[in-house]
Amino acid sequence: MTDERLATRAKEGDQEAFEELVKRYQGRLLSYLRYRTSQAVAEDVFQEICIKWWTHMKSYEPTGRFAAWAFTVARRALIDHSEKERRRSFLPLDGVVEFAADPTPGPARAAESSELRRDLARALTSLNEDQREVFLLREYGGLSFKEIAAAQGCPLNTALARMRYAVLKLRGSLEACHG
Amino acid sequence: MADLEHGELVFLYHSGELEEAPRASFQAHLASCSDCRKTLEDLDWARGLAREAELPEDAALRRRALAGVFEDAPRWNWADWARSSGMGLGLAFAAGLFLIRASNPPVNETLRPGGLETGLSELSRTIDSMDADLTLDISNDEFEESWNDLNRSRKGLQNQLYELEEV
Repeated sequence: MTDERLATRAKEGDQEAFEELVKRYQGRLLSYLRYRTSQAVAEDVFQEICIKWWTHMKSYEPTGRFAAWAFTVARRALIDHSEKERRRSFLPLDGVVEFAADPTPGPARAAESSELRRDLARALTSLNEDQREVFLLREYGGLSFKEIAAAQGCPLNTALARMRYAVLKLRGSLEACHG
Repeated sequence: MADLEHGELVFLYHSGELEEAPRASFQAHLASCSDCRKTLEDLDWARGLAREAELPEDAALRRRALAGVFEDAPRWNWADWARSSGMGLGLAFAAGLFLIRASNPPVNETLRPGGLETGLSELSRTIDSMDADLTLDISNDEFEESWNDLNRSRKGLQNQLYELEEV
């Protein structure tokens, strides 16, 4: 079943459909949050976002993509949370780069994934906030560039330029890191 | 999109946002442009990186979040504490105003008892209502501008609310 169909059912009050949506989006949403803030804040905001998704589900229009709606809500929740904390930056670096090892079996693979996440988190610190957000909304939110430009309130070509710099800087940082 | 250059169109090509005609035209351009082919390769690399570095599911966190959604389970975190404290401070401030007013004749009608709480509640309701409007589908071009205006207004009100809560 598509995300949009599930969202339509959730909008009608179907809790199981909503739970399935949360399950489908958890990894991507947590990644989006975790690469921008500390683990504790990411977990708090994740819970706030789930509540917002459910309570605002009535405003979701089935003609639109659920991912765009969901990550627009998520982005605003993170901004609100950050403003509440009066933080100037979304990225307390120490918190972001401290990724715990995967709890899943397969020690070699888990260690490799954890190392990659730490490397990505470090590389993301070389981007400015706007570039980082474009990259994360595109890769984890799955938003189109037009949707990202609307979310950031900037022209389309600005969003495209931010993605260009983000990818170039990330590739440069990670390739330098791994020789 | 007509005013975009090839160096920008390549991103829309990769994300599947180009219509059929510009897509075909861009594909023809790709055959002769190594810069655009390199950008496509970079974008594929970034996509692969993001997939590999995606965080795994956390079933316990999901259960807690869903419990908060459906069962209104008590969730104790600093944000709740701060919100409660803010409300408490607001109530204390309003009570102080009430006591001052009780001992002095009112000189300004805006300082009536309960005025602050009422104002805060109304502001919160307005922001909630704007939240609902702002989660509408934003794929319509004509709607984007008013959506952005509303978003800016909401942000202004949200800042006012934080300042009032701090008082």
